[in-house]
Amino acid sequence: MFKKIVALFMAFVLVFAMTACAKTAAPGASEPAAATPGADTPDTDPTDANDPDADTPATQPAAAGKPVAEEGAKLHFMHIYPEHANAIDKSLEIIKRDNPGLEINVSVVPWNEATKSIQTAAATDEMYDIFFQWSSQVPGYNDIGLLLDLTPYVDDEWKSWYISDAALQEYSDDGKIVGMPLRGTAVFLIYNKTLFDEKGWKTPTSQEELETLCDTILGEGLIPISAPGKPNGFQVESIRGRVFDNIVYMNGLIDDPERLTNRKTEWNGLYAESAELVKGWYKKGYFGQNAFGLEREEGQTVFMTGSAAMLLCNNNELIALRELNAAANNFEFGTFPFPKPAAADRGMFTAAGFGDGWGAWSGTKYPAACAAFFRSLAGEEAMTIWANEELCLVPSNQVEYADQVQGDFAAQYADGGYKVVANYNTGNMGDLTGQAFVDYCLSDTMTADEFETQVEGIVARTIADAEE
Amino acid sequence: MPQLEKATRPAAGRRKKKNPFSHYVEQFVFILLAFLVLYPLLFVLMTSVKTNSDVILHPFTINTFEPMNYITAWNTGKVGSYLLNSVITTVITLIFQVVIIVLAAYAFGKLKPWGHNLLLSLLLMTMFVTSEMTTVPNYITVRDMGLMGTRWSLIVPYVASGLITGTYILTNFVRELPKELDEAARIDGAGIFKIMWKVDLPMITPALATLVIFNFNGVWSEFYWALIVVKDEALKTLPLGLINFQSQFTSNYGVLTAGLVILTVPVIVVYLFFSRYFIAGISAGAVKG
Amino acid sequence: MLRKPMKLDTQRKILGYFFLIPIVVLLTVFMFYPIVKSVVMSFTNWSGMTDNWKWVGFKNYIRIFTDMPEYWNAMKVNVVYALIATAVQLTLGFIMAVMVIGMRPRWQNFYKIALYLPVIIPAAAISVMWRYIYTPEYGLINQFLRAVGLDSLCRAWTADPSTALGAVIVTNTWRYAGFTMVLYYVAMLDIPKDVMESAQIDGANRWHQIRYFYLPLTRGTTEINLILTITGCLRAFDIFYLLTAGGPGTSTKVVSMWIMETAFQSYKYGRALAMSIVLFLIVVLTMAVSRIILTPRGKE
Repeated sequence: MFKKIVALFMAFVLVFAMTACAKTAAPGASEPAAATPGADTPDTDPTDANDPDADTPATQPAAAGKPVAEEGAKLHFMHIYPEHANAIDKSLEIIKRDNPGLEINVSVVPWNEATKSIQTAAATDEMYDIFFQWSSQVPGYNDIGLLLDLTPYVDDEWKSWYISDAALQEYSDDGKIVGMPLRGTAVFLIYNKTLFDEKGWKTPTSQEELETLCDTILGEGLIPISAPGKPNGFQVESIRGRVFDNIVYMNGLIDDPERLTNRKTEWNGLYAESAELVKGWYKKGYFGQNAFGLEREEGQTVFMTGSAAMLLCNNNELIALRELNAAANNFEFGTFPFPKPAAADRGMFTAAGFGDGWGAWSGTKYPAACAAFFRSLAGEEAMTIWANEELCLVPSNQVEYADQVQGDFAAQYADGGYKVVANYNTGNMGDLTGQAFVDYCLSDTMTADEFETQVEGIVARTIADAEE
Repeated sequence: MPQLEKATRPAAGRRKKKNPFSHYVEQFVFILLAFLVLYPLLFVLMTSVKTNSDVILHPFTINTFEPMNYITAWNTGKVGSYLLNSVITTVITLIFQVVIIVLAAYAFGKLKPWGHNLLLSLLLMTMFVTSEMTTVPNYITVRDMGLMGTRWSLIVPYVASGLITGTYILTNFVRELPKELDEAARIDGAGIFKIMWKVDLPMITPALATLVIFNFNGVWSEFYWALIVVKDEALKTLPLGLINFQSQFTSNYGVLTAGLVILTVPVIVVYLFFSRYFIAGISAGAVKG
Repeated sequence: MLRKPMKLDTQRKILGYFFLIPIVVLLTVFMFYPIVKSVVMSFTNWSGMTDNWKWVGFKNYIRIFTDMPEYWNAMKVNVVYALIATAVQLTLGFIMAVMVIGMRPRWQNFYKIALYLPVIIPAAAISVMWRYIYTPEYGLINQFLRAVGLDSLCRAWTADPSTALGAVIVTNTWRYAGFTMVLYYVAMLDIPKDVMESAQIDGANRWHQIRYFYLPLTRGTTEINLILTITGCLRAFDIFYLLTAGGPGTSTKVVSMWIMETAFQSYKYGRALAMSIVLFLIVVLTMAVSRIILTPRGKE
């Protein structure tokens, strides 16, 4: 009996010893992974090294021709849209039809695991060829050499499909196009049209009128604007951003080059002005008593049940809002642009951007195939599916929006421009400034200037950190 | 035996006579506690049969009835195919874990080779590793072992991750086992293995049952490693199916909670089954009798 | 006669080593090796993704100790959380175990199941449940308070600096007290019932039972529960992420969140690893100290 057990143990031990040895036999190198093929230091242009089919290896965009996928290309494609499986499937069909023989292997990851997923894939030498990225991630990813330079592949016809240069600009770094926009993501004001008509309220045409309107609504015992703020202040902070847009415009700083690259660390009270104004609104109760504790869905519910007259929401919530509205009071809702100050000649919507997008891996074996993938995706057919079947705001100028509100959102985007596009990795800066704003709003002792100094410090620190 | 019974009865009677009121208060407090603990779970159950809009607009009342959620969850979450994978992966993992943990606990608790305290302390350190520290190296290790694309890419790391807490808990129980039984058996001429199998193992069954339940849940609902390592549809486990119900701007809570209920029911069943082993007096009875 | 006992004892010890081989091998490969790897990479400026990194010596560590106040502020949150949550959870778990073990079998079964269920519910379900309980406008707590006329007590539980940590502690206790209870319960099963009952005959009441039997005889379990809970709280992430996301502001931002942001938003994985190692060492220290304090002197 004893001997039998010992024998069994020997077997066990042998198995595990073999696996352990397999590990120690591997080179005890201290690098994190075997060298990723083609991943160079950020300075060199990786596409030249392993691109057999490029029309012109030079980086002159004018000479770019339509990309043709390599023979036998296989792409690993990662996205975060299980809810848009319909659009993804149809888009892939279009892409495969345009590029016969192209094989695409799809991975879906949850949106909040996207970055981790990319990190693990890159670190273990199994990076996706095409993957989701936010436009804010572009400088960071490009700084470490992760992104494929698409500039040689973007031909003029392709460029002409975009609603503005800004769309591609958001996905460029160091003068190179290193990503592709998919859809816009910005905060909009929507209002309960049925209620407004009933009460005889008009949508405000100036910031001052907005304040008066909010006071009126408060007088009726309703919440003027449902602004979910959990966590990091999010919609309340975005209103501060809109106010700030207007202030900056009025002070002639809208095209300040430092501001455009998110490197301005001296605002001389302008930032404080926006914060103070919005904190005043918060204290007056414009956003309800619990703005910073409301999550997205609760904010929607407050609006849909008629407790609030207006709602701050992301345009990508539109589908959910329509569903909720149908199940709730089924009133009519519409949108209006965040109003300009009465003294201004126009409003400003610098946050109008295409934050959701794609990137291609610099070490991909099939760069032309990646480019061809993007080209088909940017075409009218695919973009229309995303716009009208998924209610997304797309960067294509060839699309007609079927949904009225979505169309209004798109029209508001026309007020856009002068978007702040950092040329360094902003990391968690947005979270930090949002958190600072929440602290300021909830504090009884912090002054607006102290808050501004704090934010300036956060920006300065992030820049220093990103450049070290 | 009869002597003892007589002795206990008057005590029982005396106990009751003294504090009937506090007895009821106790009962009431406990029922309240149970309700407080169970309500959130009830909430999830309720939510799973409502439409999403109903959940968002009226979280605490049931205004719609949508058992379709379960069907949707089953189909979109691919429960049909993923369930079997979860079962196989979890069962195999647990078997390995139990064997390895029992051996280790026995070694630390009874056999006590030289340096066992130091070794245990060293191993306990591994309880505190973070996922940032382990994900990439383990991925490469598993790949270098050639396990990628097989069930073992999940099983082997899962086994490793559940070992130390279990060993810690079980070692403690083994150490607290009464030594008299061992000695009695040894005097009777039993060998090491006989003692282990016939005497000690039955006594740590309650602790072992706790372990199995706890580790079962850990493996069954593990998500992050599975997400990274499993690319093949044929090997995906249940938690991976839940991805399909959540997104950045919308979530279908009705379907999501239905999926969660489907995910949790097996764990509850396992718990019910193994909690039978929390039997009192195995050791106590044996020693005195 | 003298030889035989020695040989048996040695045989047992050698057998002990054999028994330990599987666990040592597995933990070495999947735990110690990554720890070593992580320590090595913490001396670099690795982004976590590409190969173009350089050695930076102790720079990451120096930064943690000189230029990262947020790390230590977060550590404060973790420590406060660990102390309070552990005290509450252990006390509650212990009391529940004492109560349950004294019940009749049918009730025992019911409570064993009911009180342990939260432990086995997946994290996603926890977030769904508790969000709807805490949320300020339509949440269960606030609705209940309004219904009984206590409007003034309503607040945004997870977004109010004075209650956010408390809210997390409540949810955490709800979730894990059952686990603590079960561990105590199983330990208490080993306490000989007749000894207890003879003490009862002698006039001992509940307090005496606890003080002279339950407490001392479950000391080992207390040690385990204490260590598992404290170390778990120091490394907490999920529950904070799901309930408060570190808010409001940064008042409940825990160390693990900073590590995550450093790794996956700032792309400074080397630095994040250094932060992880520092946390790891602090937790190990805590555990070592706890074991020294708690282990009774008589133990070999």
